[in-house]
Amino acid sequence: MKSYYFTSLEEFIREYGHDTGIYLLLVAEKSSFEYDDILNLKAQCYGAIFPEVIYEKQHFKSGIVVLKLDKEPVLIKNIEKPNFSEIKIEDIGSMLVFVDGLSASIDSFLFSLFELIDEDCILFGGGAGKLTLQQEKVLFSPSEILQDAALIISLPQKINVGVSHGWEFLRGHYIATSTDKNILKKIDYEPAFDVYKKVVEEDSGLKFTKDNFFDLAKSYPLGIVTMDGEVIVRDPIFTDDGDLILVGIMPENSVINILKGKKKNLLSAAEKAADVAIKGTDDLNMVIVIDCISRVLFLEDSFTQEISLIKEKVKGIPMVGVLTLGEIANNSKTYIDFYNKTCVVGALCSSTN
Amino acid sequence: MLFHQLTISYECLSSIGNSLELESMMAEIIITFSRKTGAVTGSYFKNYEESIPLINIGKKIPFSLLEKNININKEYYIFHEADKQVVVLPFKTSYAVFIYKGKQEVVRKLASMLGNFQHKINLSISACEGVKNLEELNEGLEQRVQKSIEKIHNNEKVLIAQSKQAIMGEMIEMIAHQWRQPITTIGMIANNILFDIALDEFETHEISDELNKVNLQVSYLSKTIDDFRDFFKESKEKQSIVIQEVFDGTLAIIEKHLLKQDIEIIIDNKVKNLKFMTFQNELIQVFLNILGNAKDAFENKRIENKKIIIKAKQEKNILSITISDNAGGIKVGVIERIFEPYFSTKKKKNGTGLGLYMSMIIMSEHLGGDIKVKNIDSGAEFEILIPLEGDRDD
Repeated sequence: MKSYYFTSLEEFIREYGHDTGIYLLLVAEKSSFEYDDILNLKAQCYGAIFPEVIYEKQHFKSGIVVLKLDKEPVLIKNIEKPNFSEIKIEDIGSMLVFVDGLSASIDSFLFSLFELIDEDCILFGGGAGKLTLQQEKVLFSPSEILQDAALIISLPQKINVGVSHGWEFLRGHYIATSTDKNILKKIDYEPAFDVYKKVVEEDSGLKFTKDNFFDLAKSYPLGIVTMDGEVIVRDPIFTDDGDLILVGIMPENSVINILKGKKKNLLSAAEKAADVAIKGTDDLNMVIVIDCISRVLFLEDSFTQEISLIKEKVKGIPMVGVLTLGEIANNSKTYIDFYNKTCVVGALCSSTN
Repeated sequence: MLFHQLTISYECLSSIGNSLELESMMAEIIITFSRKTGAVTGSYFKNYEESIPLINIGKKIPFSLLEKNININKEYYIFHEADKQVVVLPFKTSYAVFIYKGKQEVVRKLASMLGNFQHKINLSISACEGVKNLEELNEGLEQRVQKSIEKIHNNEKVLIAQSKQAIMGEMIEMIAHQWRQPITTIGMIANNILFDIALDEFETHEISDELNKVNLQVSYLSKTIDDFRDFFKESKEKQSIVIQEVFDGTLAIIEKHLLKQDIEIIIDNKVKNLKFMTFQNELIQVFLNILGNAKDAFENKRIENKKIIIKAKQEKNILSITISDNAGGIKVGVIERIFEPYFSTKKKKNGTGLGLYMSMIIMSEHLGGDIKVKNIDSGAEFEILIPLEGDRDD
C-alpha cells in the first residue's frame, strides 16, 4: 500500500485528481478541506477528518495523509442501526475502521461488526472528529459526507496490533453506580463530577472553573479495571449537571479508578505498543499509528518524541497515522474494545490472509 | 490478581437478575460475562435441544453443540475445540456457553467463578419464568373477562328482546282495551243502519251522520295505532324534548288501562319549559314499566282514591321525576331486589321479572342517569334522575 502526505487538498487534486484509483484521505482538522472539491474528481476519495495526522516522524494539524487502496471502502450511514450488506467479509486479513468519535453508538456498532467478521480478522482504527468536540460530518465517500457514520476499509493483509496507554492509578477503587451509555452519572452513589472534582483538584492543586474542564480533565482519565489487571481508559470530555460525559460507554457497576499520567510512562507505553505490533513479523509493509489526541494535549511538545520512539522501533517501514477521539483494537483473542487516551500501533504485513 | 478477579466477579454478579424479562436479563449477563472475562463468544440456549442460541454475543460458535452431549449435572465444565476452550454453564433447562482463546489456567479460574453464579442465575431464570407465567395467566384472565363481558352483552340483548316481548303483550292488551269501545260503537252504528234498512226507514242524511260517527271512531283507532307504533320505533339519536311529551306519550298508551281500574293520575310538572336531550321512547318504556307495576300493585286491593302522582322538578343539573302511588308499598326483602333480573313477585303472565331490571339498565347505561325506589307513607315512590349537564337545550 502506497502512502503520501500533501500539505493541502489542492496539492492532492493537482497530483492525483485525474487518476482513476481509490484513495483514502486522512484529513487534518486545520486543512482547508472543502468536501465539494472532491465530488467531481476521477479519483474515488473516501476518508475522514481527524484533529491531526501523522506522517513518518511528524504530526500535522494541517495536511492530508493519503493511502492508495485496492478495494473501495464502505461508508456505513447510521451506526446506531448499521447495514453491513455491502461489506464482503471473505478474504479479509484485517479491517481498518474509522467511526464518528462523538457518536453515542460506537460500542454497539463495534460489537455488531465484531460478530460479523471472521474469527481471525483483526479490527483496528479510531474515532474521527474535531478537537472542538462538536459533532460534525467528518466521514465521507465520493457521494456523501456524514456524521454518526463509519468508514470500513477491508485489507487483505494481516496486521499485528499493539495497544498500550501508560496512565497510572491515582485514586480508587470506585464503582460506576449509575451510567447511561457514555454518561457517567454516579460514582459510589454520589454525583460523578463531585467525586472526580474532589480527587482532581486535590491532586493538581487547581480548581475546575466553568471554562477549564477539559484542560484539567485531560490529565486525569478514568480507568475501567479488566480481568488481567489492565485498565481500559475513558476520557471525560464534558461535565453536565453533575454527570461526566465520556468518549465511549461505561457499563453500569464497572469498577473504576481515577488515573494520572506521567510523560515518561506514556512514552514508554507507545514504545511498548510498537514492540508488541512488530514482534515476530519480518515482512512489514506499513505501520499505522492510531494515537489519542488527548495524549498530544497532555504530552505537548514531547508528543513528537512519542512518534519518534515508535518510528525508531519500526525503522525504515513507512509510517502513517491519525490522532483520534477514541481508539479501536482487537487482537482476535478477546472481545473488541473501544479505548481512549491509548496508543494503538498496527503493523501491516506484506503477505495476504 | 485476586483483587481484579473480585472486581470482575462483582461486575458479573451485578449483571444478574436486573430484568424480569428472560431475554433481556440473559442478554445483560452474557454481554457482561463476555466483555469482562474476554470471551470471544458468549451464547445462551433456551433449552438443551436448541441448535440456535437465543442470545449470541461476539463470534458465532463454529461447531455444533448438540453433538457435545451437554452435561447438565455440573456447575460448569470445559472442553477444548481446536485452539479454543469452551466453558459450558448448565442451568435448570437451559445453558450458556463462553468461548476463550486465553491460557488454560486462566480460563479454568474464570469457569469456576462463573460456575459460582449458577444458583443465582437459576433463581433469576425462575423469576423470569414465573413473571411470564403470571403475565400469560393475566392475559388469559383478560380474555376470560372479555368473554364474560361479551356474554353479558349478549344476555342483555336477549333480556331487552324478552322485555320488549313482555311489553308487547301488555301493549296488545292495552290496544285491545282501547279499541273495544270504538269497535263496539262502530258495531252499534252498523247494526242501527242495518236495522233501519230492514225497516225500510232508510234516510240518507241519517246514514251520513252515522257514517261520520264511524269515521270519528276510525280516526281514534288510527291515532291509537300511531301512538303505539311511535313507541316501538327504535331511538337512534337523542332528541330535544320537554318532559311533558314523555308524560303524554306514556299516558296515550296506558292511561285508559289505569282509568279502568279507577286509578287517578296526577301530574305536577314544575319544568314545563325545560328542554333536554334524551332517547324519548326508552324513557317512555321506563315510565310504562313503573306505571304498569303501580297498576299491578293496586290489583286485588281495596283502596279508596287510588292515585299515581307524577312530579317533575329540576335540582341543579338533574331532572328529577318521582312516580309515587298509594298502593301500600313494597315488602322488605322485595324492595332490595326489585331491580334484579328475573326477580318478580307476580305469578301472572306479565311477571317476567325484567321490566324494572330493564328500566335500571336503560337509565344507567343508555340515558346516563339513575333510578331509585323507596317506600313512602302509603305506597312506593320511584325516582328517575336524568343529568342535564352538557346536553341541555333550553
